[in-house]
Amino acid sequence: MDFAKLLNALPGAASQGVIWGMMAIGVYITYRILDVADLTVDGSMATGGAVAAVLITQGVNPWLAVLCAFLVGMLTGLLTGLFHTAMGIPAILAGILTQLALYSVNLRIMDGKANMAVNVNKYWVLVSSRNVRVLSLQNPICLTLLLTVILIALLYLFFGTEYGNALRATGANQNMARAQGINTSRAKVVGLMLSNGIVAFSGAMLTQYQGFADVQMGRGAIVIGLAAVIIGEVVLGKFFRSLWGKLLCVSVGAIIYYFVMQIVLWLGLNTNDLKMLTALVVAIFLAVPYWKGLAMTRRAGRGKEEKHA
Amino acid sequence: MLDINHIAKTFNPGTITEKKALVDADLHLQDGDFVTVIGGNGAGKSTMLNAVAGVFPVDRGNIVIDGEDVTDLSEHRRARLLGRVFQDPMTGTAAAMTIEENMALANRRGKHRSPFRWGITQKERSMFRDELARLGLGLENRMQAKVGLLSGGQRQALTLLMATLQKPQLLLLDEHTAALDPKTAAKVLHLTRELIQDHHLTAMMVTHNMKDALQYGNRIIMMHEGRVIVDVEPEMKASLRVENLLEMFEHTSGGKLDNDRMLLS
Repeated sequence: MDFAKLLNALPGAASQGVIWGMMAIGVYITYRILDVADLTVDGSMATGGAVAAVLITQGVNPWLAVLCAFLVGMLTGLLTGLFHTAMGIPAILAGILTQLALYSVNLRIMDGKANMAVNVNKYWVLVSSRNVRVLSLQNPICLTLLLTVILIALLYLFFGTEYGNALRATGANQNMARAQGINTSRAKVVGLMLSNGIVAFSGAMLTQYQGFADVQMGRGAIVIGLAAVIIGEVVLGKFFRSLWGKLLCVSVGAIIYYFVMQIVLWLGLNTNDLKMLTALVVAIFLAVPYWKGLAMTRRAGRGKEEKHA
Repeated sequence: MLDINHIAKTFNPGTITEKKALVDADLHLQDGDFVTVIGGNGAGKSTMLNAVAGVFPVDRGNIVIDGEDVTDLSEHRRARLLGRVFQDPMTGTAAAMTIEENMALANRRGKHRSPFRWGITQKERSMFRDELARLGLGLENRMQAKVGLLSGGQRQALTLLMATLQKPQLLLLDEHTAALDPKTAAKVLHLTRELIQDHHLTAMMVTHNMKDALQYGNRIIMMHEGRVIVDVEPEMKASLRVENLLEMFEHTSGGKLDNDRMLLS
């Protein structure tokens, strides 16, 4: 095994990790703050990529393109939110419905093509994987890290406001939130919009980074997002209690995830098996707290029996 | 202050689990009334409170709070008029949020929540500290602690305080001491009376404890099969005893009270 080969792959893994980390922050908002598992992201990630690809290849300023991706992403969240709150569809199913619909929408956006190139030589893009080993501000890590910091700062501020607190209360205890006069349905819709806006933004950055948009590029995004959230919590969760710290953990979790994937590939695993591996890792990490709980109740039960005897 | 005009509510109508929870509930409270609500399981006590709170729409009748017909208002819109404490200490507070965050949420009940104003201000913090200090539980020194770390009694005391931070037109207490041990329950009841007196609140308190029902409040009502069957006015209540209540119940409902959960002493 050639160790240099692994080292060579790490900068790319880091860049990808930072970009997917922003997506994972979007997942954190729904999964951890709003307590909703939102599967829209698999579709909205690609939607963001498709919007950016189409706009950039038409000569639109890439900043404007990512802003548009963010706004269109919010619309996808709005759709899921309305499915859930106005039509009473369970959140998971609402997300799946939007995700399915977005497959067609994304193809429409890209004019029926499943794949659309954004050539870094022809168009102005914000980040590109070509510069991943360049030691300058051109390096995609610089801008994506900066954007991550700004994103975390903005979210930290938002969740400290009156409305941000109302969103957190909705996720923490819906009955209590309603008793305090919070419109929990609207709070969920707003949360889903914010989350999917961020996810689409991340998709727009990924499209520029990899030089193409693909209708499949969001497949499994929710699982990767969950992996980042959980890895971040397990590895660094102890050290951070504030929201900005937790969001930072998510971003770091995504980077760790991509490092691990690179190592696994380097060890000789087939690329096609990565998604299966991701699913298994997430399943196990999700099971750990459950198993811990079981062990705890058993121990407590045994203690009681002993007392009786 | 509160007019419940002949409301009815049937859950799961037309199914095998159909339940006529409220048949024809009618109740009128004056400003400053503190009414205790008793009755057996399934009598409709909690359902009536939840109907007032807007947890579900009623099938018939209407509800007027302080001259405002709220029958068609959603739960979160009615919240501006109501303070609520629930039976389960978990329900009234957000466990994952801190004490001061919970209080700040309650301090904005019924108000517009802006994304451009801070969720808690320094001024509020000092006010919360003073309010918490009066509970005598030491919570004023733990304002940054997650509410999930508090005991059931502490959470109920906090919920009570939260319900009265913004003076409600009506305070709804749904067996809020039922999940507590007797000593803690007594403390929380004491606090309840104190807050109601200090803020001159109108309140409804559901309880399974007849002694509490007699000891607290100026009025007492008894529910049975979705109706208010006994309504003891303030003049009468002071001299009322448990035996009188039982007699009244048997007389009006035409049956003996057979409920294990109803505490007689």
